[in-house]
Amino acid sequence: MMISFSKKFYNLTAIENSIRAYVGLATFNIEKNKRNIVVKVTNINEEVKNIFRDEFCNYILSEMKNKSQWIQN
Amino acid sequence: MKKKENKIIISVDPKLYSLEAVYGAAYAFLDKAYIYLEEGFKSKIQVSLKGKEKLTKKSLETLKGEFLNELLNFSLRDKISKSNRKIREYIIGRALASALPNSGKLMEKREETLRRKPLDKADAWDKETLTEEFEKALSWEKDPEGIAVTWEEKHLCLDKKSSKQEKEEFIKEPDWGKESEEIVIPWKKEDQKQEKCKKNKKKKSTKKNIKKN
Repeated sequence: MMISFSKKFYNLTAIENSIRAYVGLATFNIEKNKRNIVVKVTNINEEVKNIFRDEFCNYILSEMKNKSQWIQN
Repeated sequence: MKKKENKIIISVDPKLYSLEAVYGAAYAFLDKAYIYLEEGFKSKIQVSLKGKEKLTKKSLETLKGEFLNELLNFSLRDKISKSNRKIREYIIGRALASALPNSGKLMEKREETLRRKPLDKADAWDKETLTEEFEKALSWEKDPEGIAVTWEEKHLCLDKKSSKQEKEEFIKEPDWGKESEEIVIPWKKEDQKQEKCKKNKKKKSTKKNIKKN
């Protein structure tokens, strides 16, 4: 599974933090191109395979919100 | 809208809504839907909302409406927080500075810096009113209503004119070990003096009378 995150909206540290939280459920590989950060996900746990992508995206977004609050303050 | 995928896509103009507002609204919707942000056409922000459970067309529309409302709410909050930022920092700075032990000097320094580099014109009114309030609060040292007067000064008439020695004597605890010595209460001292004077006068007058006789 490949999930691409636009550099405009998603931060690399937020993605890395989320990968650290999800590392027990799959194996991850990060690649970068000009516009996007691409996360390759393999060996996803069968129990969570259906919702993995969506939950992972939500988790990254929550990390982004926390980070943006820090910047504001 | 993609009903088969249980998804609805909203494009947000970054000129109208800030990215912070989008993050805020998305964060508020994390428990209701799966959210994914993409770069859309003409550098618009494309927000895709996917229901966590199967949703009908109507409920997807209501989800969209709620998200847009939340977006508006967060953009307003963002604007207000930005406009009030300086005054917030001023209040917090003032409160923290007053809590420090040598706050007086720090306050003076702060005042000086503010004089040199004043707040924005928009904040000027708030600053004036705030400084007035602070000055009022700091005028307790003048004590016009006599709140800071000690109990001894108020009730025992140890006014400012009474000597230091008298005050110290009053504050000093009597030596309870010496039972034989009389414990003289300081505010009764004057009465005793006056009585002594009267006695002496009486004695003198009786002596004079005796001499005359």
